[in-house]
Amino acid sequence: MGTAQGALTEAVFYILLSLTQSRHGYGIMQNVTQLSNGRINLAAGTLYGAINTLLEKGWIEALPEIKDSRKKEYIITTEGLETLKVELARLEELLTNGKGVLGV
Amino acid sequence: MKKVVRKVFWAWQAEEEEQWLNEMAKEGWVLCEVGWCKYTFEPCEKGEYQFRLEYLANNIGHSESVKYINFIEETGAEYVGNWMHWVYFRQNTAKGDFELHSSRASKIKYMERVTGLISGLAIANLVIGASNILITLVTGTSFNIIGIANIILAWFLYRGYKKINAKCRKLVEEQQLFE
Repeated sequence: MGTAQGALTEAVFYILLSLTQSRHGYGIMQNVTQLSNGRINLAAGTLYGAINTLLEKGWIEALPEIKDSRKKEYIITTEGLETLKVELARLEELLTNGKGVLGV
Repeated sequence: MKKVVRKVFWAWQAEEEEQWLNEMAKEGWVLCEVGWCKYTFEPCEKGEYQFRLEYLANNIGHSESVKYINFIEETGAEYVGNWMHWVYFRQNTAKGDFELHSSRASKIKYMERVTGLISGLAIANLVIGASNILITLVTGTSFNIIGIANIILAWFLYRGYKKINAKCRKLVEEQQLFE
């Protein structure tokens, strides 16, 4: 893949990671806070924009709506999973180089 | 018992407006209705709510706006009301800090929607004012007060535009270093 993909934003990375299992908006927010030990608190408006972009990209999809629940749930697609893996490799490169040069 | 307060906030004063609403909530008055320069409050526990404003790209009845408001409500905030494209949300402070934008990119988009509104109004006033004055000059009729008022308003709006635009540009600069 090489240079084909740029860096994902922290928010997008964690949203995709959260959606490896189906979740609704608030569920994503809670999961991101938990994964990052409270470092990242995704705001609802920002999450809304990100979800729409990810849906357009085809990296996530909305699950068919369940009766009695007005909360929409989302899940990652194969394409989204692939994107995550490419990003992980990029992060690993950064980490290896950073550690190597700084000797930590 | 409800309390009505009439107060003017310009489009570039959304932050000040949020602050004022939060201070009111700290004093035990929570916003329950919004109108044109008109704020209706009802009693609440002191500091029970935190407020955030959003400027929507579409009008309030638009399906995109409805989807957005529903989504925000699903995350635990309450929609209080709107005035034109401005929408008011409140969240119980027990649920933690309430923000609508957590990334520079989404803050920038929000500010650009607001600057779009202000610059549109400024340009409209400038054009109307200039044509009014031009007509007076050509026809040689009396002093054109409306034209002058339009120009003054355009200048006032331009100053507001500059305020938000400066904040927005700072975020864009920072974005080159941090997302």
